[in-house]
Amino acid sequence: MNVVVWILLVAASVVTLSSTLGAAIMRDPLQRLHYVAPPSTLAAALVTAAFFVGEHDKNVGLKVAFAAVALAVMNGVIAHATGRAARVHDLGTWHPTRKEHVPMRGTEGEVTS
Amino acid sequence: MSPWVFASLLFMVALAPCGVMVFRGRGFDRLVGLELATIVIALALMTICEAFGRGSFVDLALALALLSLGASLVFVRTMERWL
Repeated sequence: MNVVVWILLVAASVVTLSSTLGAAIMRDPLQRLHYVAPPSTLAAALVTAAFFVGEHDKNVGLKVAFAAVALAVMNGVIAHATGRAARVHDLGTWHPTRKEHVPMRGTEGEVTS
Repeated sequence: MSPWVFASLLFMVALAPCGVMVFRGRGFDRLVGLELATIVIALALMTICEAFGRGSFVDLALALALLSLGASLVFVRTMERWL
């Protein structure tokens, strides 16, 4: 049982450490945002699994699971909000510019570019 | 050394790159570093509680995870509108 806890926690730590190093190496905020996801989803799930395996008090495991779900949900919301804010801050608008050629479905149901 | 202590130490080491991001770079780089540091601290709090045998202190990690959502959104809106 202790070996399983070791494996889960080492995996969570390695995922977190590599993600923070990757985020520090990147140059753009939008690139850095991609590295926030692994710690908040995968590492949190691994820590939660370690709690359920190694902890006898299941109430603590449930609290950790709730915190892990909160982290995962929070990551999606904050990553989108941060990316949107960075784009608005740099370009002044959220909408695609003429040079970007992002395929968008128009209000008439036609696909325009 | 228990696995919980080992994981806590590695999580705290993982805070160093977050500190580099927070203290250097442009505004949104710092904001991403802050968001990443919040997640790492929440994970570290979970493992530290178990490492010291204080399971009830997991509430701290839970409170941090819940409150950081609103805090980060306030930072994001502030930087988008006024900075």
